[in-house]
Amino acid sequence: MKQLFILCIVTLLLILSGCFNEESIKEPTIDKDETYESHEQPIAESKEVYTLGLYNKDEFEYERTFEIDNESFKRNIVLGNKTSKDGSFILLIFNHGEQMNFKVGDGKISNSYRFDIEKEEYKDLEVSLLDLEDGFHSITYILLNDPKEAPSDYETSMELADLFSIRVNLLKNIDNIPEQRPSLLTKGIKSEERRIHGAFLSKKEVPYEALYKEEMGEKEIPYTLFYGNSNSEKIDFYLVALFNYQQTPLGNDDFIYDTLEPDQEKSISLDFNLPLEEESNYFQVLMIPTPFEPVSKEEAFLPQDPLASNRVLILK
Amino acid sequence: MEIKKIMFSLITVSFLFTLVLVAPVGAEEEAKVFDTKIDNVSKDDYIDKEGDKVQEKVYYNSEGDIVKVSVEKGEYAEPVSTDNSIQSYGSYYAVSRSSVTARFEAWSGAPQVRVYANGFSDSYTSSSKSTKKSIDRIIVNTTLMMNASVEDQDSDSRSSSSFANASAKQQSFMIPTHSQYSRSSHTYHNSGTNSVYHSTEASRG
Repeated sequence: MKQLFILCIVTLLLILSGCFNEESIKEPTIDKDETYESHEQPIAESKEVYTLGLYNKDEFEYERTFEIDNESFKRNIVLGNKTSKDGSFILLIFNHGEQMNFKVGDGKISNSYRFDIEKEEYKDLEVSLLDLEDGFHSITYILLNDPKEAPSDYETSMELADLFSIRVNLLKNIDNIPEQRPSLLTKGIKSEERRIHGAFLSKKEVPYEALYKEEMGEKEIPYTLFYGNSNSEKIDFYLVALFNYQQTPLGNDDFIYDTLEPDQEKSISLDFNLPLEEESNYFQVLMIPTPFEPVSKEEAFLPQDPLASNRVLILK
Repeated sequence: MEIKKIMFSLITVSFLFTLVLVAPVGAEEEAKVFDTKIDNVSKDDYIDKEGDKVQEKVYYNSEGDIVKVSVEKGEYAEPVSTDNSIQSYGSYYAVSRSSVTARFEAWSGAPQVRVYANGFSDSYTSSSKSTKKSIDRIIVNTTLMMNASVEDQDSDSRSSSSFANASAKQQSFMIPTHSQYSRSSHTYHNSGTNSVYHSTEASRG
């Protein structure tokens, strides 16, 4: 009798576990593309555009400030190619004015990630930021178009300034954004009249003429970095130089922190003198504005998005 | 040989004629102070070839000379809401475009041709474009390039807006040897939607 009772209990448990298994099999699978499409606009169907969204796994992420306890932070950067051409991009991430390491999916840790994206497709990058210390982290995700594209004329050099970005603020064991700011650059010379908005790499001998292809040879390449603000509000920002998409010093500084009044422009004269290992090399400067600006679910977007300078091809 | 001479003469005459047309007037006339005080403004509303409403304002001085001209698109159209994310949330119909224009206007005291690069970003409730719609932020950055140089860059970044317009204008007098190139980067941000990045170009000459 006791054996029969145990047999019935075991049978019942088996039936119940079968039911639960059936339920888990029947759990609906989420079509991620449908989720992304549901956040698109009509222009994405009719014009040659790219779209960019921040997601938390399959959910649209509305928040832009995160209080964290862990050393890592993971979110999905989803790029939509709504153009008629396949594309290629490089993802870079900056913590304030410093390029940082990150991991995409289960890949290796690196400070850049190149990927291709087919036309009419989405690319979902599960990005993990690692080794985050206590304090305020001003995180800027930046996507640069066609990293292998070398400008052959000044128009292409300007086109390669296109940049897509998302800003989030991370507060680790800290309540608010600190009031302390980095030291301001003092070497920037104010222009009499502003022409540039963002950053621009100019020939030294002809101000405002676009630098797009230079041969290094035995000499260094002199250039002028112009940076300006055409908006009606004062901005603070980091300027970061990229050599083959790796951060490189601007003069003697790892990065520059400076401010610009409305309709103001400044310039610095610099020399490019890095040793070249590759035949073709790429040089570009990024402006990352308002790094201390609070962002939130309600105010998710910066007054001015990050901007890239014209891209310069430097031949060995 | 005769044909070559004639061709050479024609080219020389054409070049000189071009110089006369676009060059600043002589030093004596430059010394004459151009009256930039605005005495009269005329407005012209029209639908452009893209089907968008445009308002052109021409400012005259007391002598009837044009002091400046502004072309605005969208600015006079009332947005559906200037409020926050509640009404701006969700779907919108974005329209972007670039143009290059040129006109005679007062410049260093004398009328001269000045080239403009214009970038227009607008958001509407639907493809009929009959009603504007505010979204969280619209940014347009416009660049004017002439003879391999950046003549000007302009940006317009607006929150809770249905439009952004940026016009970059020629800063230095020159005879263009290349076409004048305009490029605008348009960004549309709205709560609950993927951000949209759209580039438009235009050229003249």
